Amino acid sequence: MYIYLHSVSFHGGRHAALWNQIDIRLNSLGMHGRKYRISDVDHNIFPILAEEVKKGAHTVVAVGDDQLFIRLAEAAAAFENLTVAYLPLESTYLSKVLGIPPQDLACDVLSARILEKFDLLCVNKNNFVFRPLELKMDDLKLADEEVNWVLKSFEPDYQLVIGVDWRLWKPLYQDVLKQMDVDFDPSKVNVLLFKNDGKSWFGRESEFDWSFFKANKFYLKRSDGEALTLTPSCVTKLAELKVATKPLKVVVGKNRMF
Amino acid sequence: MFGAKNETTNDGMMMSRESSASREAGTVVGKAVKIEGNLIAKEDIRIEGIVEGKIITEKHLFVGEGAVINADIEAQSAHIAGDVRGNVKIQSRLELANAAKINGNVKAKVVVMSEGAVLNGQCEMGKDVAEKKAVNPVVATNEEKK
Repeated sequence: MYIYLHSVSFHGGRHAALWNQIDIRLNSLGMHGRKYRISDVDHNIFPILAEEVKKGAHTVVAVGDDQLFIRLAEAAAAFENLTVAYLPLESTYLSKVLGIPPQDLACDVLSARILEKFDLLCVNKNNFVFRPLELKMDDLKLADEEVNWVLKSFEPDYQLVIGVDWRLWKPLYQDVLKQMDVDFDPSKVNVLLFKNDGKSWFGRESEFDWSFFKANKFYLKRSDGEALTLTPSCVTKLAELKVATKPLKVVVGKNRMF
Repeated sequence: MFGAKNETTNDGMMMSRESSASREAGTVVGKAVKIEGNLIAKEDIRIEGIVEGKIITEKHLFVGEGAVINADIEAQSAHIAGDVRGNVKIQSRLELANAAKINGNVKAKVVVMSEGAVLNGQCEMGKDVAEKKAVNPVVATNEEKK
């Protein structure tokens, strides 16, 4: 059984014909299902999924933009045997990486049902993060799984990026990654720390400085002990970062970039 | 970035800096980073910043110029161009670049030392030295915790 989460921002008169076209194509492919309108910010997807999983939903499709798909992926990771799919309404970063064309063209790709599994980052046991976390390293302390070591940056403005499965995100960080010799391990939490302010000094490019760590688990906290905001729904004084126990199944296209 | 050129010393000795620096490392400690504690890995480690504690790897250790290590080191092989204050135990080959400065005792099967490198401490070389105790990070940490 399919469930469709529609981004409310794409509703309205000028999109009516587009919705109609998508509906017709989905119905002709036998992929009809219940539809929910999702507001952009506050709408909690989790209760919808919980209810629909009870009723037998196996695939949830985000119809909208990358932001909605990421919200769906992070909510769906809490459920076993739930597959997520993306029906982009325009060409976006994730639509290209996943190999899913926009609008009604996506219906055929979803129907082909090529599945890829992605490991997500799990924060404090019940928060799942699909795309890498981006934080300013200032005032942060990072420790490895057994607190064998504690890492601090002694220069300001360093960017901390924490992720697990980088297949979807490498193109997003290609400018940074091409300057690193990084050996990502998708079964571990991979941490990048870098600074490239781009400033030149008498015509010389500033040196790109970076660090890379990977471990089964990291701990992250602020040096001053105050709460750390990792995602809008995850504010904590001590973050335990590890790989989610179950990977997320995602429908991808044959033209995917990985 | 971290210098991927071979380095020829004044006496014509070739240091394999390229192979050390350009290989993908499992752990990279950048210039602006300080690590306090024991850095233990089964993969290559590259250090350009500061480490205080202990460094143990089953593979290769690269210590860049400008790096400051206040730690004992155990590794399969190593290229050191930075400042090390601690004992260094290497199973196979230890390369000391001309900017290397070691204040501590060195044990290694083979030591390749460039002109300008400083070693203040005892140096033991040879097959017997390297084979006295195999590097095993897991055992090492467990013993330490006891």
